[in-house]
Amino acid sequence: MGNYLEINNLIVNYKTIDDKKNVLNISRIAVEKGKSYGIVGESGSGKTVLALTIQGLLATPPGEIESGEILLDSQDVLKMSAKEIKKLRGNKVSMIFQDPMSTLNPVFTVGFQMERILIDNKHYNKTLAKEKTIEMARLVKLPDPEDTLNKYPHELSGGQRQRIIIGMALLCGAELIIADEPTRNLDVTIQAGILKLIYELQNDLGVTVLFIANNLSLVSAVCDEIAILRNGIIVEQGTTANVINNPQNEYTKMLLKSVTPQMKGKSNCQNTLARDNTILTVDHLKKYYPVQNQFTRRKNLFVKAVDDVSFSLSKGTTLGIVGESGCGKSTLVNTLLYLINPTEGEVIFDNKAMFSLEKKKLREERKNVQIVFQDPFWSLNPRMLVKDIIGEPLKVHKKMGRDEYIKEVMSLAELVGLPGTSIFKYPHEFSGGQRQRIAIARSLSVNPKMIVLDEPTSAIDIVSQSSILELLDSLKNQMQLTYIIISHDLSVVHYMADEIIVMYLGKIVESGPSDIIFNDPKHPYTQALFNSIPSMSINNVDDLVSIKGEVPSAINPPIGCRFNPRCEHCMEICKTNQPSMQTISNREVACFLFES
Amino acid sequence: MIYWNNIKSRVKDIRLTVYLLGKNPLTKIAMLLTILLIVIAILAPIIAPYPEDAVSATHPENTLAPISAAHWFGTDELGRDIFSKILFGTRISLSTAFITVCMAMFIGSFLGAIAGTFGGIINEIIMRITDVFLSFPSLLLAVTIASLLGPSTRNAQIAILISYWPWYTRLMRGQAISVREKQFVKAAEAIGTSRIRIIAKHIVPNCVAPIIVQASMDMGAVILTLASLSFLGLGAQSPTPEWGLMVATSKNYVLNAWWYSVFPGLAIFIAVLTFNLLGDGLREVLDPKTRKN
Repeated sequence: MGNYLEINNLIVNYKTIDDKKNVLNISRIAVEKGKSYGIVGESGSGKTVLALTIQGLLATPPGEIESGEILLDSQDVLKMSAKEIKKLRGNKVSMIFQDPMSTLNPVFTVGFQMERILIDNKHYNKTLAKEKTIEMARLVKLPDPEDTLNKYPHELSGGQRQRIIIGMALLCGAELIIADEPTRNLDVTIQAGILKLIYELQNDLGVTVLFIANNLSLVSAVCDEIAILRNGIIVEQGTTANVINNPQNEYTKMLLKSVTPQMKGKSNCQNTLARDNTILTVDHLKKYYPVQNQFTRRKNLFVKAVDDVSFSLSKGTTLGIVGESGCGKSTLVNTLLYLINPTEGEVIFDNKAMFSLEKKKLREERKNVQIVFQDPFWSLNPRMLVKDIIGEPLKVHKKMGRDEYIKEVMSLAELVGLPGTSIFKYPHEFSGGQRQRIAIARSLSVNPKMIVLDEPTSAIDIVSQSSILELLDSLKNQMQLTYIIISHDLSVVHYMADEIIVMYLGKIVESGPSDIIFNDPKHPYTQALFNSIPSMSINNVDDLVSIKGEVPSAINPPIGCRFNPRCEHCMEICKTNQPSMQTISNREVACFLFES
Repeated sequence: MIYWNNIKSRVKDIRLTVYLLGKNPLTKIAMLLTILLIVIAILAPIIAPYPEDAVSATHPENTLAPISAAHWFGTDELGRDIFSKILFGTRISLSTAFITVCMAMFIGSFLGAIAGTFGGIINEIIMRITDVFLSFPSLLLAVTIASLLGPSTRNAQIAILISYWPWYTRLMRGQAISVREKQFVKAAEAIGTSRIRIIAKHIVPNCVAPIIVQASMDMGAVILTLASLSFLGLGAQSPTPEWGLMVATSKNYVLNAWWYSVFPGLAIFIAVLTFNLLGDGLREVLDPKTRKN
């Protein structure tokens, strides 16, 4: 079979304030019909520009296509008139965007939006369009299609929305699908389902897929061939197995290495030594959000974000908290830090009960527990210079002269691997990874005893990710810190944590030493979670496990074990009783399978 | 050296803003006109051909003279040079409008920041008071207050101030509420920063952009309101060379001395348009949603 998509010598420039910048310089990409081709690169490497250029959607200016050709089914897209390209879009080429919420129109039902496409593009009448839409909803495996199609986008979960988007892309019989990070905002368990779906559709319908992502392991699981894009230039391309097992380019090697950070030699003796001094105890912590009906003011409904969580943490250890989004991880740590008022329970940090401290004492005590947020773009005040951001805790808690202050801030910046002079810049002049370093420097400036890391690497590029993790690791030893790390990226948690807690719908389902749980997960949810993540060792989509169904609402959690509607080992007792924590083989599990 | 670095990045930020402003031709014109208006206001005594005419001099021999080389915009019913009066009028309009807007901005955003950050009962009290003021049409409110206080430029200013501050409160509160939820505010809280410091260092600096846009738009509106009040006899009193007052007096002579009404009217028109255009341009640049690089 011939090449369906062929790109030759494509050069795209962007005009900026002072000069032209080359963003794409691709000598050749060729995708055979019915195959999937993956493009991997950091943010800013030109992936999305490429996707837009193929569809003739590139905004000009500031973009400018200097030369080259894009052959789609042997027709040059770049030479087509605007009218021809419009015909092409939707009918031959479709795109699946990152964010399904902003792609769907919130004021129409999803079914209506899908029918509209058919009525507009194919001039179907209403009944036929409806039939086709339902057929498509079945194809993308939506649960009860007729019902789902009558819902509005906000009533659907992220995974369902993404399925609708995929359905829309396929409605008019597109032959090439461009998937621009289709699973970026989804949970790992849902992600696996979407990847499987794309893979199946590709095989069943013979569509060609151009898969764009910044996650190498994700792409390697789905694609036949991959290309590594860096600064608009393809540094390496070939069949997936070839690129991954035998990388030629230095950058590819670095990417591969950063995907699987080397296991640190965890010194167990240090752990046992530290075990006797507990720094943090969380005792039956609860955080309920009342659900208020505007009209009746009923207050008896609650979102049980954190429901009866207890654990303790020894000095110098790292605790990892994992779970899908909405399981209460972030609420838990925010409550720990007393950024949110708890509903019930007690947090004892360093022998002080945090919730009963008076205002002034609390402010004083706060410097001992610091937090590093997920998103480095909003965690730094954009109007402040970096020196003022890093130095803010110093200004609040210590009095010092101007020169001393600058010196201190500079040394902090150097500690986290930033040049000392960079403190006179604004945060927007830094990349994501550098911004995260600034946030870390800020949290270190008051010599805290514990740092909470809320998804510290999920918003930054994979290459910076491993260096941030290494930095955190070395700082921990240097400054005798205790970490709590939250992440949905299990490899990050595995790398960092000594102990882990697995949460599901506000409750702890499994907890224990990280090595033990990673090697031998016991709770069915933990098992499923671990198996849903594409990794280098999984080269086939079929090996991925996705948990059936979606995370239930925390307003009305299932009676009994909260995982029971999605559990494969569900028994009668699970539907009525709540399991309690059991200690088996060195860890604690809440599951009836192990109840004696 | 260290302190120079400190200033450098702030200067860079301002330079970028000015550069982006200059990219829009209309904004560029507005910027040039603003500078021109300010220069005229400052240099009025030097540029004006008959500076004494703007105070109290009269020339009964030369009343309502048409446009000539000696009197570019003609003369009024007392023989005073209209061009000189308009130049001095710029001074009055610009300075009173500027002071009024600044005060409204200061009072309004201070209350708005407090209401937005603290929320709860403080928010309720401040916002309900604001609602009371906002429920009157602003010009009507200004007219009522000015007539209660008695006609003078200062009373007109107070009247305008009272009818303009609530807009800033509402704007600032909305901004403060959205900024309050940002992570850098949470981070500051986790550090142990005091409430007041959070407002001053984190919330207010991130809300200034829309406030500045609103202020530059309001400059035009306040100039217009001031002229309206003077036109109604509630603002500046004769012989102050105020634009609105000049238009008001000229209405008796409009049939045989068109220049008397047209030029002060034109002055008001240009000043208002300038500040509106400037406001639009600023919004485009300062609002991250419309900011293009």
